[in-house]
This record gives sequence, structure tokens and C-alpha cells, in this order.
Amino acid sequence: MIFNSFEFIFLFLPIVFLGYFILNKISFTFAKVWLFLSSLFFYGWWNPIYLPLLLFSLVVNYIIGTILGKVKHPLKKKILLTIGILFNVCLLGYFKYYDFFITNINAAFDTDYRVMNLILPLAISFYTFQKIPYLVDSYHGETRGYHPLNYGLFVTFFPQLIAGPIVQHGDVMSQFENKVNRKINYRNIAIGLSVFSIGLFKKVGIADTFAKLANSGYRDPSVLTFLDSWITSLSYTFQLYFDFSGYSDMAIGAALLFNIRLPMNFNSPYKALSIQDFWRRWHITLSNFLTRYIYIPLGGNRKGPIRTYINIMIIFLVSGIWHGAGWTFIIWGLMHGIASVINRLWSQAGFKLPKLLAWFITFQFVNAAWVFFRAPSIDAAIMVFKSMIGWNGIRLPENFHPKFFSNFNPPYYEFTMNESFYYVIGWLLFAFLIAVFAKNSMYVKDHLKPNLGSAIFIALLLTYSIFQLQQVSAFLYFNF
Amino acid sequence: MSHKKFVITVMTIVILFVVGGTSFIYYEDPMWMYGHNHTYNDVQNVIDERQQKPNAMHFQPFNYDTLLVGSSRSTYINQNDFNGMNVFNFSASNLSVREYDPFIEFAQKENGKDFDRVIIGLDFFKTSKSESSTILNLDSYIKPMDERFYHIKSLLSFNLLVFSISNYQMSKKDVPAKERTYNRYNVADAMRVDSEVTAMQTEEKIEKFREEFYGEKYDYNPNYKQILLNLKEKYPNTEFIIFTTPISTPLFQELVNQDLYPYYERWLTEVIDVFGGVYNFMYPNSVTNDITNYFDGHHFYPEVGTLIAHRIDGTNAGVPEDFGQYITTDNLDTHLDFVKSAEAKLKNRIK
Repeated sequence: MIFNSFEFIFLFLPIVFLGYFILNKISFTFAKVWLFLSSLFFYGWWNPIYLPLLLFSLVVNYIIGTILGKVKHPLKKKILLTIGILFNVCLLGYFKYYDFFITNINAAFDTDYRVMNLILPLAISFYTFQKIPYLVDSYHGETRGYHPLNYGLFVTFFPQLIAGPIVQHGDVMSQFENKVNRKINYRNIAIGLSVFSIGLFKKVGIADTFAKLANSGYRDPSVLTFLDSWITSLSYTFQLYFDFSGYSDMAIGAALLFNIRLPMNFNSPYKALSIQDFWRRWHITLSNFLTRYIYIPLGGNRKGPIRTYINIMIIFLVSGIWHGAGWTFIIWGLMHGIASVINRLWSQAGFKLPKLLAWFITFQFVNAAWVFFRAPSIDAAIMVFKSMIGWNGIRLPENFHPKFFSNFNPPYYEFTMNESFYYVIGWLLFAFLIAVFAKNSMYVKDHLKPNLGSAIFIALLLTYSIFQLQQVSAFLYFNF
Repeated sequence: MSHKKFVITVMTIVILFVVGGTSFIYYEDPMWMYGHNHTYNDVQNVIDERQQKPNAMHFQPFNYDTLLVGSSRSTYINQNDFNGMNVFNFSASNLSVREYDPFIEFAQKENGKDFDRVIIGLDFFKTSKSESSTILNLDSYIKPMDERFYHIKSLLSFNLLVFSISNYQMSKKDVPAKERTYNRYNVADAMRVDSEVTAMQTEEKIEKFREEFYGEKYDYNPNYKQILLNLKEKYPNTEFIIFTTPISTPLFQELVNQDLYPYYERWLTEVIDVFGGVYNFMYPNSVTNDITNYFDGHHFYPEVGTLIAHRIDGTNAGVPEDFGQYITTDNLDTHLDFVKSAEAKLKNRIK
């Protein structure tokens, strides 16, 4: 089930919400069982075929985690942890990377191994990155005494199950155990409702508008003009941000209705002044995972500069591979890795750019890297880049005749990405202003002032979004 | 304001707007889901005939012996004008020759039995490769109809709210304010324009045809005949009645100017080869010569549609003698000679 659907907003969420608090009057355990079963229903609604896989992975990890908490022998613990991590990595690897691996083997060695065309189980990338830390922390004895129901809820809790935020057990387990959370909390509901509405509007009001432009551009990059290619790349840059951060807002908002606080996942990333800053603001829970469970165990920055740079490249390579089984994702990850290394060298050398220039370079780099992230192939990405630097000539849309340009008698072309060039420019400007200047939804979460003005604003956002529900579209991150 | 009051205020506003908006959309029924008819919804916008008509066919009683399928020109034919036939007009904008089959297939399924006859409106400009190569179907329209809560979900649309307001305004005035509107009985009407606007719109249409469909871009699809053959063979129990849509003489003249007349001949020949005969309305005659029968030189007013229906049903009531001839292999050459002489006159007129 997706958040921006009729089924979720009008049926699932109200029923689960009411059921949870009614059952809480009888028993906290009953209420949590209800929430757990509801989360499984939420997961299975789209395609129930992978529900057994989710449950199997959940049970295996719980058993390994519990044993890890009991075993005292260090070698046995290490072996068990390795088995547990391999189990999760292999599960993800099989479903997500098997076909990619075989395709490349066949291409490189001219073999003919069968490609299985596996369908990626929903959310497997996300729940794998929840369970590995659970096992590592079980190894360190940090998960002892977890009740299986609370553990099950931690993994399957529907707001974060499909596309994050990537919640770690430490973020929520105590909240699932806390009996204070049994009661309806109007402050949390007010904030949750507001954050959910903002997220829903970001998705259906903004991201879906840019989706049409980005899809149109990437459908045939060979015909893009200079302006078309910039509109295409920027549209995807804004689409991805409003789509994914909108989803995170909806997850955080929905969880708050049940008095559960999920971690922040986005903090105005397009305001970043450097690549390091960007990764402190974009998909924060993924960055935290990569830092805590890969970068630091590899030695982090403790083993000299060369190892530090290698470690940085490794985590960005992993990030690229995690996002998708394709060379374009790997290139995207490596681009960010190289940029992070350069950024680090630059900072350590004591150089500092003016703020505006630093922001501009960061934003342009991020925008360029998203081209690889979105393009269906490396060739397509290169085509977009070529157009962006004017390789295919610079022309103006035929209905765009400002005096300044007309003086130069520029060549014109028929703009076909949308009926109106001005409409597109207007939307890009609107999205840019919101992404770069507006306070973000997490600010609203922390500073919501309940008054008539804010109530009307939230109600209008929610109403508008509800009236866009007929155009239900899948979230981009479901594919990862 | 307390947080509790905040939540109540937000929910109250949302519920008021959602209930109000969806109720109004239901009242106007712009997607033809419910079928109710009243003074304030009897002029309906064309939103997407590929969704609106199937909705009506699927969710309301559907029992006909004849199906009419064609492009936007054929939409202006009143399905009730065919004497002795119970016709449903399943024509839709920009219909490709590739879509006749999925349209008939869907309609037959909804009808629960074979149609006695299918009347097909053919357009010459749809014979080019670019206009007839893409395989098309109705799947993306039909599939959602079986989704859970489709009825309710279809009411949650800002666009539909805007269309509902427009439907309400047109219905209140009881005049079609768009190029094409429908009543609640699947009958289309057109907004009337004066001769000045007609002349201007005809000029624009000719320009569009010159740039998009005719001229160098035109390339007759060699598979066209096979597509028609496949269609005929798929429905052996159904009689096919074929007609060509009458475009205005200035637009026909443009076809001649662009040296496409040989393809016009080939088209008629192939259609007759497949179906045995065709009602041809597309040539210079007293109806097509009179530009006031059209609002843009391409789309005729419903009165012309009535003449087509009467020629096809054989009653011929009010139909000018020179408008529409049934052509078979027996009289094809004579007919083409006649059209050719009209064509020559046109060419001379141009020179």
C-alpha cells in the first residue's frame, strides 16, 4: 500500500489508528499485535507473494540476534554474526543483484547463463539495512531482553517499512515498550497530521508534476536541446527530493499518530554548502548506517589519510550499489565518493569558498550526479550532459521572445516538453525557492503553533492532495 | 488554540471540502459512472472518451445490436438517427485504425453477444504509417474499472471538480460551450461558430494537415489493408458497414495539392477489397462544398451526421442526392472517374 492512495488515507490509517487506541484500553499487547498484523497487511496489500520472505527474514534474524546475546565464546559469536550478516547480504544480493551480475558475466566472458528476471521484493533494501545493525548490536550485547513482539514491530512498523527512514532498534524499541505511548496524544496527532499533509503535498502536488517533465526528457535524450536538458535534469533533481522527502515526512507523520517518533531523514539538502554537508542532510538515516556500520568498522579516519579516502570511496560505492543494480548507480556513487574526497582535501588545505559559490558548486554537482542516477543508461546520461553544455546547439522556445534575447536574433525551436514553457519555468522556480529558502517540514514538526491560520493551511494542503489521489503513482524509492 | 482543537479544525475543514467536492462531482458525474440525468448535468464536457464511454458501457445497462466506431468526426453522428438499428456510438477522438479491434472487442464483451453489425467511420489521414503503425488498446482504461473502490476513487480529483463546475455552468445555460459536448444519452453536439470563425479555423486546420499529416510526412501504410482484413476475419458473425468521413472541399483540395490523390484511390480500392463496399462521403459534393456545414473544415455539425446515418440506413430522408455513394468493385471506376474530374476541376481552380 502506498501513502498517497485512497486505501491508505481513507481506510487503512483511520481503521488502524482507531483499532490501536481502542485495543490499548484493553491491553497494550493486544494493541501491539494489532499494529503488527496491520503492518503485515500493509506490506502484503501490493503483492503478498513476498510476505513470507519478510517473515522468514524477521524470524531468522531474531533467532540469531537472541543467540548472539546469549553466546559468550568470542569466536562462536563472530562466526554467528558473520553467518547472520551473510544471510541478509545474500538475500538482498540474490533478489537485487543476481540478474545484474549474470548479465555482466555474460557480456564479459561471452557466456550464456540464464537471467532470472527476478522481481525485487518490496522494501528488501531497507529492511536489510535494519537487520544487519540489529545483529551487530546483538553481538555487542545491546539487544538483550527484546520482546519478540516489540522486535517484530520494530522491523515491520508500517510507516517506515517500505522506504524508511531506516530505523535502528535503538531509535524505537524503547518507544514500543513505553506504556505512556498507549494514550492518545493530541500534540503528536496535530504534529503528525501536519507533517503527513506536508509530505503528501510534496509528493502529489510537486514531485508528480516534475515526474512528467523528467520522464518526458529521459524518454529520448537524443532529441534534447540545451534548455530541454537543463529542464530535464533539474526536474528530476526536484522530483527526487520532493518525492523521497515527502515520503519520509508521511512516514514520520503517520508514526507520530501512534506516538512513535521516527528519526529525521532530510534536512533541506539543497541548501548544502559542500558535499559533506549534503550527505548530512540527504537520506540521513542511510548516511548514519553507512558511517556507523561500514565506515567506522573499516577504520574511519583513524588509519591515516589514504585509508580514510579509500574508506570514503568504499561507502559511496556501497551506497551506489545499494540504490540500484546498474552501472549508472555505481558511477553516481563513485562521483559522490570522489567529490567527498576532494571536498575533504580542500577543507584540510584550509581553503574556503564564498558561501554563495560553495552552494552553487554543490548544487550543480548534485544535479549533474542525479543525471547518472536517473538516466536509463550511461549513453543516455552522456547525451543529457552533452546537451547541457550546448553540444547540440543553443536555441530558444519559439514562444519565448524576451527583448533581451531577441536582439541577438537567436535560433528558435518548438518546445514540446509541456504546452507552456512559462509553466515549466514557473514550477522550477517555485520548487527552487521552496527547496532553498523555505523552512522544512522538520522545522514545522518542532515548532508547530496550533492556531487557526496553521490549521487552515494544513487543511488546504491535505484537501488539495486528496483531490489529486486519482493520479496514484508509485514512489521512486520502491524500486531500490 | 489547543492541539485537540487544532486537529478538530483541520479535520472539519478537510471533511467539509472532501464531502462537498465529491458530492458535487457525483452530482455532475463527469466520467459517466453513475448515469443519473438532470437539468444541471445534461451538457457534459469531453474529458476522455476512451474512459467516459467504457465507464457508461460498463456501469450502466448496455444492450445494442449495432456499434458505431470512428474518430472524432464520427462522434457527431447521433446514434439515434439510424432507422431500424439500435446503435451505440463508440467513437472517440483521434481513433487509429489499430483501435477498431479493441473497441469492438470491449463493446462486444459488455454487450454479452455479437453485434449484428458494426458501422465503421474511416478517415483518409489515418492511412499513413505514422498514424496507423502504433499498436494501441484500451487496457489502461479498462483495468482501473475493476480496481477496488474505483467508483469512490474517481470522485477524488481536482480536475474532475473543475470539469464538474464547467458541466454545471453549461447545463444551466443549456448550450454547448465547447467544440464537442455530450448529453446524458451519448449524443454529441458542437458549439456553433459564425462563418468568419469557421473560415479562420478551416485555414488553421489546413495548415495543420499540411504540416502534420500530408506532404512529405505522409507515407501510405502498406499494412493498412491487412489490418482491416484481420478485423473482418475476427468478427465473422458481424456485418461490417463502412463509410468514409466527409471532410470539407478545401481540405480535400489540400490533399490533392499535396499529390496524395493516388493514395486516396488506393485507400478506397483496398477498403472495397476487404469489405465489398463502402459509403463514400469524402469527395467534393454539395455538403462538403458548403463550409458552413463545418466548424473547422474537418469536423462537421451533427446535422451532417444525420444525413450520413440516413444514407447508411437506406431511408435517405433529406439526404442530397450527390452526398454519399455506395461504392463496390462494380462502380468503383465510374466513381473514381467522377471524383477525378472533380479533382481536375480543383487543380484547375488552384492554377
